[in-house]
Amino acid sequence: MAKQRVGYFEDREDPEAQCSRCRLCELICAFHHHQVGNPRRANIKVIALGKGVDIPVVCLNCGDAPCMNICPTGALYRKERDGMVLVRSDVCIGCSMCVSVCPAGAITLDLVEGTAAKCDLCGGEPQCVAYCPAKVLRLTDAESVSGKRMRTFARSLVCQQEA
Amino acid sequence: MCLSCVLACQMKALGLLDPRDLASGQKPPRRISMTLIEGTPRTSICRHCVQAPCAEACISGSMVRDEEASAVRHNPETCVGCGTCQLVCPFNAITRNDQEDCMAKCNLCPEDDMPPCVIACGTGALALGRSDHDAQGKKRKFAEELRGERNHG
Amino acid sequence: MGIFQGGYTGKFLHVDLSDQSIQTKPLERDFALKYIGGRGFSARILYEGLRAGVDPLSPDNILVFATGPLSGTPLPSASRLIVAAKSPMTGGIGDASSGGYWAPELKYAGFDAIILKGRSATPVYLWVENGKAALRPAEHLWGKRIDETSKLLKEEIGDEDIHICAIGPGGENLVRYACIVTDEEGVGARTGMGAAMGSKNLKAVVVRGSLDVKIADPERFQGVIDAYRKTLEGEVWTETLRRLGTPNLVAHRQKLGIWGARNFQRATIDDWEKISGEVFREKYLVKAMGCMGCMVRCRRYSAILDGSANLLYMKGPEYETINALGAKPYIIDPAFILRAHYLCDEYGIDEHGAASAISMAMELYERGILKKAEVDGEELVFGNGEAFLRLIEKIVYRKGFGDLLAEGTRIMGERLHADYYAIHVKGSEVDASDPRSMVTRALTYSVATRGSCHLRGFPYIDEFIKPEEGLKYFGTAAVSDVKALEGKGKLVAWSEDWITVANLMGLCIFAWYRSRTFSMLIKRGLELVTEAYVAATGLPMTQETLLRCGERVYNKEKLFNWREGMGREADYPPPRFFDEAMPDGAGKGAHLDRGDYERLLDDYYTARGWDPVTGCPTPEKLEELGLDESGR
Repeated sequence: MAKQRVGYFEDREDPEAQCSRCRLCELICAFHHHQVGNPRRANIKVIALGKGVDIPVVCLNCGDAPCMNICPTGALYRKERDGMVLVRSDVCIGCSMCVSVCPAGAITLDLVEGTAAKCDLCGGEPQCVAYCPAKVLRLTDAESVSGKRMRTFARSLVCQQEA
Repeated sequence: MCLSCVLACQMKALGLLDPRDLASGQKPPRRISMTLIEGTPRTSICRHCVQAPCAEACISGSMVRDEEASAVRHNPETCVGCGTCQLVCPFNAITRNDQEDCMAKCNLCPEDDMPPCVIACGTGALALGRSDHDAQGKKRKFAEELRGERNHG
Repeated sequence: MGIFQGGYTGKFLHVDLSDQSIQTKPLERDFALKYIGGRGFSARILYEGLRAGVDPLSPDNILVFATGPLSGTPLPSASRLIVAAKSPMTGGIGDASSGGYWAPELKYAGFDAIILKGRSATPVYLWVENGKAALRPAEHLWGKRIDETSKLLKEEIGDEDIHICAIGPGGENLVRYACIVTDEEGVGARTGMGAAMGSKNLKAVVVRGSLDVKIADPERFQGVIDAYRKTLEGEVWTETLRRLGTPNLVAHRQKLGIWGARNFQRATIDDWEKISGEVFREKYLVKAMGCMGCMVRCRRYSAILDGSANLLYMKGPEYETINALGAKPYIIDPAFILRAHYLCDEYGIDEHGAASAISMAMELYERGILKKAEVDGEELVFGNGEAFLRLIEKIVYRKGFGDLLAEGTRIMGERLHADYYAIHVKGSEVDASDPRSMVTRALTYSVATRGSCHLRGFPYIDEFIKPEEGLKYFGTAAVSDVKALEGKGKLVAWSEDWITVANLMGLCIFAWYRSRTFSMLIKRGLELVTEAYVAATGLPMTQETLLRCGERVYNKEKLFNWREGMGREADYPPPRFFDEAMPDGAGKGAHLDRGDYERLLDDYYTARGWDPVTGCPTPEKLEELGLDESGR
């Protein structure tokens, strides 16, 4: 199984199948990991870009993860070869190098613990995916994404031919 | 890599206002330096770690994390110069001050409104910041990029 | 470490705008258990902090921003903020509720409520972050509309992720029905809270917080989240809300023939399909949006073409938007409704306030009571959208005829000797629907403590409650008969106490206090909410005690009004509803019967344990609620 992550899938034609900025994903994530209400301690965040565009941003589980590469203590690791990048909080020194290098801003220092915090796929059943009321968050991986894109592209070729 | 930041830091350490007053061979202990990593200039400077190894290692209590300021402060007065902090720092950010027989590292210049290195930086590449604002800003930029690709996860 | 294990932050922020002093005071455990939060906090603070006769637009008024113990927790739809003060519209208790993200953010900033007194000498805004607050100059923001204000504040503070409650020029110019706008989206619309805020020279309250809201028993709390989620499966009401938003009610109003169209002269709308929920979805909806943690997502986000090819984006419309800006002035044009809605939200004035004033003027003009010269030369007939838009501007800046319109229908009625055409209760305009054909609805609107309000009680229970349930809860199976009067006083009273719980907890009524089965109303609104409260706070609570808190708060609000001289005579619908029959629709010919209304009102007062003649809470009732004879 290719490296999994939580992906955002919306249907621009359906007003109910898009991120509605309810931020339940943020609430549930922080609650699951820290047992509190505090969306700023969530590993997923909804970014409001205005004009009806809201996009949940979460760790992409990079193949050649810059955070893992830069970590001076080895606190960032994977359990299996294709697993999600995880944090060993007892080893992390909170130097924030990973925060500096992550291109998506998906890893942060937890506001209370001070150590690196990132999506861990909740051990296999991501809570944000389970609770998203619009069902626009899904467990996915890079192969699925490219497969979907190939299909969309192929369809667009067919439409062009018919036109 | 103009190294203005390095110069500004050294000048402050020596109490100089004019770089022309720098005598040759005068080299205060390094607190900031620049290095090239895969072609990109990066600072080599104290990261003010939350669980700082130097603070844990210090035998004289001279390395203390100030939570309010998000900084690890080094106190040269009480420092005995044992060098353990230098050994444990993953970033090679701590050096020896031979004049004073103690260690030296970036303290984020609490006595100044803005650290001289940041002021000296001509491109704005250096900024006094907090990592969480960093991350939020990057999420926003990433979300902008994702704007056009949204159907594909 | 505070005395609360969770839910509450345990801190109130007190601000004196006159001497610019700011203090933090603790929330006492007893206060929390007696008043819970939200409207409970504000009712007590206003009743005990003010004396009778205070001018609501003077520095003596107190403005309260109150959250509930469940705000900021991961419970779905715990997003609601209560803003309260003595109302410039009614002179009685005033409060406005809005959703979004502001109330949770105040909790993350470490406060349960903000209490503001006095008046600042110069325009200021309050900045609140993580246990601290400061008053900052706002001269550069004064005069700005809501979008510009937000933009400038975000630039000044250097962060997009801040949450803002602001007034627009409407509030600054003390338009009596000015409102408070949160995050350019939600509006705390009714009772003129924007004017109260403007009279204090307070432009905005801006919050940013990153502190934890603790949960005393996380496992138990998770159980409530999951139990609540389960209740939404197959819940038709929430599915309809998600698909169409509250505009789904347009078809319902037409079917029942209960529009208040043309200033309550018509009960049906001829081309009503043009402004139906379906039309707004087809033509203008960008997407459905949700307040903090909401699984229903009834908010609409719409766009219209702005003159040229630019799209103008906005939150809304709600049903009440269509009712106010479409039905009342009889402008049956969806694009107009959205344009007028955008203006009202940008200027910060309540749509019902503005539309009722203009519609009343339209009726007076058509009847020849107002002449053209008196209305700034406008051909002020129903349906004239251009005039309507011009008058909105004049209301906001108090120019010409707009200055009188800005006072609202009650004062217009007094000044023009045309009280009959002012359709209000206690000075607050009738919204929602025309209750002439259903006396229990008329009662609910008329006894609401904040003036005409369809959200204070839930009389529609009689449409679906089973006879056995009626007998069990209200002592008579007759409550399940929509036409019967028996037991309805008790029904309305109970529903008021029950819904008050939503406003105490910070919960959204649509997500928690709506269903078409009575057992679900109890399950969500009492059973699960009590469980959530205990799991979040670690404090003891039962369903009965919680309902009692709702009753206590309602009584406190009634005492507030009583102290201001509002007795039984204030609990009546406007005379038009008695003296004129509905001219068309399913309820054609219906009007309220005075005898029936009197009986129902007596029944309601008796059910509440209030003096049946005056409507004042009796000493026995106060004692029962743990209040002394003065109501404290």
